[in-house]
Amino acid sequence: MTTNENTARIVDSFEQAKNGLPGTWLVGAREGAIHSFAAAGFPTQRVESWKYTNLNRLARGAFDPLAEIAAPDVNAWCDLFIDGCDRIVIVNGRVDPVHSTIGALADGVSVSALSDAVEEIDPDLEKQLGQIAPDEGAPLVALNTAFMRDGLVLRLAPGTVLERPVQVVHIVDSGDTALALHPRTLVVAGDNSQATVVETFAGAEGAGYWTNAVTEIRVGKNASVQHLKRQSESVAAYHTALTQVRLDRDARFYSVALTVGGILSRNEVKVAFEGEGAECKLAGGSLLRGRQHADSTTEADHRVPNTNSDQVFRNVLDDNSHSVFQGGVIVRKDAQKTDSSQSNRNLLLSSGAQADTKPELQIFADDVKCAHGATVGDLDKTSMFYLESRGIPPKQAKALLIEAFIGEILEDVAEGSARNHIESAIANWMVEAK
Amino acid sequence: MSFLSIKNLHASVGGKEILKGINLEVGEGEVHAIMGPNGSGKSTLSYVLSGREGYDVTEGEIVFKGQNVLEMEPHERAGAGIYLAFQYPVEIPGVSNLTFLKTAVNAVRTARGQEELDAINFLKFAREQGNILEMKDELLKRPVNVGFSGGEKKRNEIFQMAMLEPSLAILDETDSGLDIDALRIVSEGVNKLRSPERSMVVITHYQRLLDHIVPDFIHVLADGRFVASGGKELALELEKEGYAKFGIDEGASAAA
Repeated sequence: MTTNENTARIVDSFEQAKNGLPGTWLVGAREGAIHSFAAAGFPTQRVESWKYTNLNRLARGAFDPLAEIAAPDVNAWCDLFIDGCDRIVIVNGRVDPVHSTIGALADGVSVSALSDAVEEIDPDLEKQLGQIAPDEGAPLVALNTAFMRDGLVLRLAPGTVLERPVQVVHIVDSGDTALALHPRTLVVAGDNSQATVVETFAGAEGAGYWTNAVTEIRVGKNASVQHLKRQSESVAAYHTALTQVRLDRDARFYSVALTVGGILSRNEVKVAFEGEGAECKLAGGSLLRGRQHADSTTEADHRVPNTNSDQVFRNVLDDNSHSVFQGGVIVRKDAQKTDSSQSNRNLLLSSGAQADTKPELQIFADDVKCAHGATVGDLDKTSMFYLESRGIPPKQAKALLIEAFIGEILEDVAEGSARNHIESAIANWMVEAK
Repeated sequence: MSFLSIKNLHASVGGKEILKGINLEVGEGEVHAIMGPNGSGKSTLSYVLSGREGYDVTEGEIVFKGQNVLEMEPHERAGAGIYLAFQYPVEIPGVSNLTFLKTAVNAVRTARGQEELDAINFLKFAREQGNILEMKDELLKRPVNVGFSGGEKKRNEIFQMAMLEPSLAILDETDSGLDIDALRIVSEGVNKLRSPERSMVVITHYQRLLDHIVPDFIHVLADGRFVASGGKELALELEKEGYAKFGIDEGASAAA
């Protein structure tokens, strides 16, 4: 099947499916989105922002966005559930009400599955969903809009504080069916509110499927949102994701996205500064082996004066794996006193591994601070000898250095079960490290 | 049987011969000082003993407690009881001193057939040893050597030695870069660790360290060979008359 034929197939399946998708009020938006996807097609490497990531195989793949697969035994996945937090569990693209648990929430806090939230007419939801991350110029976002079925919707009224993290867990265990999943998460944090959201993606070993996720986050005045993402998909799966964030005045956004799964993945985080005094820290990276390819692409769009962004990305690459970091910073003409920094370091454990790193700074204001730095290297021999000379066997010494290296992405995350959740993905990867 | 026996040791770095036939016998509990100018091969000897990559032994043997040291990996040597206090301790960002030490202590304990220490007993042990060296608690929590002053780094080397309980400690220019107070603390720490079961090889350029750590024997190293050996009075001769007495021209010596 050619890419064009496949695009036509996807449009056909939308026509069959559209009346069965949740949220009748969304039909118009879905139709617009599928047209926009059909016109643009899958992104190609001719587009600068996709230069290092080739979607050809994905674009020709017969992934099925409609199949409904009987839910597997979810109990086998319980170690992905963060202790003591509210969670939405989505299995093969559909919410699993049995394993989703929402405890008592403070007044003004609402947590629901997307498929439930869109069944009612809700002007407030209409104002947000699809408005934070628009479809224009983003074919994969448009495709998600067309097919989105489930995900998390978290809304915090002004002044509310989410006491426990909210977790959304995506599990794919679909046997031989190559599913296409288009989850959508929406977080709207009202003024002065505070929340931690964790997104977890996992799949059955060896399962081939495609997750195309969109996460929209709006952070109100002086509100604070922490967003943690653990991508532990099957190593045969494709994962493409956009997290789009909009920050109002004095808002704060802290994110960590760790990739250990997927044969090919793209994690894009874009932050638009829309109010003065806002700040964000974007951290992330990957632990890769085999032929895995992981692309981290960022954009900190400073549109107003006096905002800060800091980006910290670390990749550890073994075998023939490949990492990409495209670190975008835009400082618009009026965004004076912007303070932005960016650091990408890559640790190569094998001569077959490859790291591409590209800082992309577009600065149109003159009174700004913008720092960036990137390194690619192997394990430091002097450090290895120092550890070994203290009796630590080479494999353990290597593990200490790798964990310290990747651990820098967690620097700002407080101790607790959410942090442990990310650390356990690192620990799992280390178990199989050579 | 000798505790440590080095016979006719030749070693090169990058194809250049640095050690040209070293012979040294160290008995159990003895403290030997090795003195010599820059470039004489002092640090090379310490790296060869601890097994650093890139230091190639071309001839000779090293036997420690009946074991052929040259066939052992660096971590096996540490397990067997050999400890090197580095001249330039290495900074390891992201690994806390405590995590590092707990991993190391339990690795050598396992190698020695001892039980691993659990978190509580390890901390207790670390506090006890840390007090001896006046280590601030805060230094234990910080990443290994990161942001440590010169004196704190050297103190950390001796602290690690106290924790790893070696039977042979090699101190490579532990006095370099230390002011008088730091030198006193470090030397006192070393002296507390002296015991009839623990031998030490103290490598230094200057005599002043030997005022604090008084050796049983002194050897003078020049151009990869020992040119003199004797008791502690040798240090005083060196102090008075310099290395020239042994035919060494310090200005002409090669880099280390």
